[in-house]
Amino acid sequence: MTGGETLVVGLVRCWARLYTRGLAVDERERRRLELESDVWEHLHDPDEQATSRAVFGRFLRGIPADVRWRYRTLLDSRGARHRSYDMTTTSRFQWWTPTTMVIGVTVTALALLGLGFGELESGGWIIAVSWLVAAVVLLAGLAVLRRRPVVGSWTVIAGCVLFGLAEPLAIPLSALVILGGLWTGNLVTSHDEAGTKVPLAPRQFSLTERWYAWLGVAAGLGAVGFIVLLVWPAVTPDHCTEANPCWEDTAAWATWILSWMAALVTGGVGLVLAGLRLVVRHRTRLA
Amino acid sequence: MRRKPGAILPLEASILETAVSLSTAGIEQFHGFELAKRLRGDEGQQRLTAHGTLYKALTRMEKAGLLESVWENPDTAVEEGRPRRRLYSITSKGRVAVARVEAEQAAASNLDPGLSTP
Repeated sequence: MTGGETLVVGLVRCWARLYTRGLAVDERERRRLELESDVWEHLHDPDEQATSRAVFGRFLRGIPADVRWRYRTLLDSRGARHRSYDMTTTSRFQWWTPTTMVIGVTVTALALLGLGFGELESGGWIIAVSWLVAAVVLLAGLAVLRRRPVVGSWTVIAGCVLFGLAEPLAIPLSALVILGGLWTGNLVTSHDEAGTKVPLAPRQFSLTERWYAWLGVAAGLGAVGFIVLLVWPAVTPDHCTEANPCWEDTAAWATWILSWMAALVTGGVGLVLAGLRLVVRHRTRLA
Repeated sequence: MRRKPGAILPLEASILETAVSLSTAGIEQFHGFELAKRLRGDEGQQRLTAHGTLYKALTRMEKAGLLESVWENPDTAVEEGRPRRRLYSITSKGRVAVARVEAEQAAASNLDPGLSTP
């Protein structure tokens, strides 16, 4: 073999090892051996010319399909679509329900505070009523979440959208809940090979991957919180001073602190769970 | 774009048609690279089908029951001094699918004969 051929064979092997990593042994070995055979046949075919370049081109053009195949094979191998709904939802409710419950109760409390102490002349009532409606919808969603996960999640999402619309500062918090609602309610869908829409249960992603994604969201929320903190003095109403603080000021700060804490707590828990998951997975593989 | 359930992609149709023509010629089993060469010849393309595209399609078609495959006898590969081949063959379901694709193509050309005239 020429130097170019050796290089391209090594490249194809490395790429095959990389994108089949972590797949089931039979799937992995089959793809690697098939590629090994294909490249050998290609390089030894008397009809083919400029073979190293041609092999490289085939390798390069096939990368997107390889990546999609890996993703699909991972989903299939986890068999989540064949699992019962109860099995996939149980673990989610362990943390999601209390978290959203705390958020819902806090929103309600803030809304009631607004009703009691809001400044009528500055539109405090409108904000407070909006929050209250949002909170009622949110809590109603939470109430039906266990029995009717999809309906409950959509209701939670509707409540969060209302919440976000009523108070722009609540958008990070709303985003957190909405993402959780999408996740919890099994509303994210995928398609199987035949193109049929199938619910994408959370277990179709590994726990680690999901928590890393969640950590990313948490970091984003923290960043938004910092931006809010930086621009807040510029948007504080003139009549709100340190000596005479307004209700909006206090509520906004409370909202911001809540969302920031939620982000930090979620991220921290995510890191711990991700670490645990890695250990468990490693041990499982060894076994 | 998502494919409809049961729909056959153009590449899959080409693979099935090639498999049928090979079978007609007495070649019941074929391997990936041979198929890529045949596809290039049949389609009049300059380049061989990419690795990822070809083997992803073959795997998908096998799962759909259109093709079946077995590993070649290792002794044969050792005798010829090359890696073992994965040998594919078309199933009866695959033949039905080819017939359906051809019928659809024929129906489409009958609907708009102007498309087929130069």
